[in-house]
Amino acid sequence: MNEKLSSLFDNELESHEIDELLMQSNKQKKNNNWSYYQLIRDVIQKNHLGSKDLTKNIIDAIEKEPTQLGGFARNQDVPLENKSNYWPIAASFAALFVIGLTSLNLTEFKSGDSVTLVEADIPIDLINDHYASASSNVSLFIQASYKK
Amino acid sequence: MQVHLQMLAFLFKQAIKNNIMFYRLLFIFLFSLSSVGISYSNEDPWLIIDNAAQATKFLNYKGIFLSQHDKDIKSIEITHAKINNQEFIKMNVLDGSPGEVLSQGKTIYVYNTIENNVIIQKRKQQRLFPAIFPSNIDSIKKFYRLSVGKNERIAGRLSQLVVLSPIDTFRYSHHLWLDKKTSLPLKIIVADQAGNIIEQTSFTQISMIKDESLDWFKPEVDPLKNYIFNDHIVGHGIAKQPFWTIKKIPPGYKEVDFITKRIPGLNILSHQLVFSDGLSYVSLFIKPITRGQKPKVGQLNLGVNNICARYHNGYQIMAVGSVPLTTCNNFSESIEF
Repeated sequence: MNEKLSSLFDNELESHEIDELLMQSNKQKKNNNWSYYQLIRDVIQKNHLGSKDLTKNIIDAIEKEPTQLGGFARNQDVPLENKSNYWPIAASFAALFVIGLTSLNLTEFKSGDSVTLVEADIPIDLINDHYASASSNVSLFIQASYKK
Repeated sequence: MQVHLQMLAFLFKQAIKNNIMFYRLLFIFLFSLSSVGISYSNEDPWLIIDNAAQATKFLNYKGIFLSQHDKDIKSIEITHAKINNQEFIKMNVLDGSPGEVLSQGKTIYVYNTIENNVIIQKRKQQRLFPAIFPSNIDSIKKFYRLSVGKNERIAGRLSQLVVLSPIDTFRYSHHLWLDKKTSLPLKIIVADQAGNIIEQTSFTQISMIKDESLDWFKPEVDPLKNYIFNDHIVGHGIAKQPFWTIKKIPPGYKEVDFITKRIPGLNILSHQLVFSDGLSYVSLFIKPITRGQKPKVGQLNLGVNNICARYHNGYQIMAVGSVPLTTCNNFSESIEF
C-alpha cells in the first residue's frame, strides 16, 4: 500500500490504478501517510513553501524557553516513555514500607505472654459489632453504632 | 386420648347391648370428634412455627413490647405492614435515648440519637422481634424438639405456648407464646438448661390494623438535633479472603454473615464471622494483636453473653454470643491457620 502511494506521488501509476488506490486509501484511513507523502513530494519537488511566519514562530518559542543553567540534555538521556520504569520500583518501596509499618504494629507473642481475660478487656466495639449483626433486640441493634 | 377410646368402647358395647338410639347417636358424635382430633395430631406440628414465621411477615399490626436484656428493660413501639407485596416496619424505642428503625423491603435505616446528633445509618437486615425465625426452619427442626404447652393471655389476647427445647447442650431453649388467632409471636423467653431466663420480650398491647395508609412510615424529626447521614455499611467493599479454616463447630451452626473492618490508623484487618443455628447467634472475631497489647485467654460471662478468648499465631480469637459456654468455647477453638 505504502509503495503504491509512493508511486502515485512519483506519477508512476496508471489512471485505473490511481482510482483503486484512492478507494483503498479511504478504506484504510491512511490519511496520516497521505499528508506525509504530500509533504515529502512538495519538499523533493521544491514546491514546499512552509509557513510564512515559521522563522518568527521558532524565534519566539526559543525566547520563551527558560534559561538552562545545568547543561544540556544529551541524546542518551532517558526518554519520556522510560520514566514509567520507575513505577515498579516506587511500588516495591511502598509495599516494603507498608509491610514494615504493619510488622512494627504487630507483635509476636509466646504462649506464656498471654493474660487471663477480664471484663475490662472486652472492648465495647466488639459487643456492639456482635449486636449489630446478631441481636433480635431492636434496642441493642440501634445502639450498636458502627464506626467508620 | 386413652380415656377417650375407653369411653368410645364402653358406648359401643352399650349400643350393641341395649340397641338404644341415644347411645348410637352419642357414639357417632364422639367418634366424629375423635376423628377430628386424630387428623389434627397427624399434621406436621412444625406447621405452627411455619405459620408464626409467615404471620410476622404478612400481618399488619401495631403494638408496644417490652424487651429485657440482662437488667435493662426497654419499651418499643412497632408498626408493621405488608402493602403491595412490600414489607414496611417502623420501630421506635420509647425509653431512654431515642432510637428508630425504618425498614422498607430489604432497605433498613437506623436513627440513633447520641447527645445532640442523630446518626442515620444504613444497616444489614436482621431478625428483630417478633420476626425472629429464619427463612428456612429446617435447621430448627433438626436441633430443637417442639412441644405445645397451655393457653395463656398475653397483651389481652389468647396465646398458645410452644417450647423449642434443644436436643443437645449447644443452645438455649426458646419459649414462644403464639397468638391463637393469627399465630404471631406475642412473647418469647430464652432460657438456659437450668431454666434461668437469658432474655425475654413480650407485647403489652397489640392490635391489627386495616388502614393501608403509610402516613406513619417516616422518622420522628427533632429540629433541635443535627442529622448526620452515614451511608457506609461496615464490611462492604472489603473482599472476603479467609486465611483460616474452621475445624469443628457445634452441630447445626452455619456461617450466616461475614464482616471485615480495617482498623483505624493501622493497616490491618479485623474479621467477624457470624454463625447461627436459626435461633442462636455467635460472632467469631479474628483480630491481629497490635504492639503494646497482650493476648487474652479464657472465658467470661458478661450479662447474657459468654465470651471466650484464645491466642493463635499472632491473632486474638474471640467468640461472643448469647449461647452456652460449651458452644462459645467450641467456636473460639475452631479456627486454624
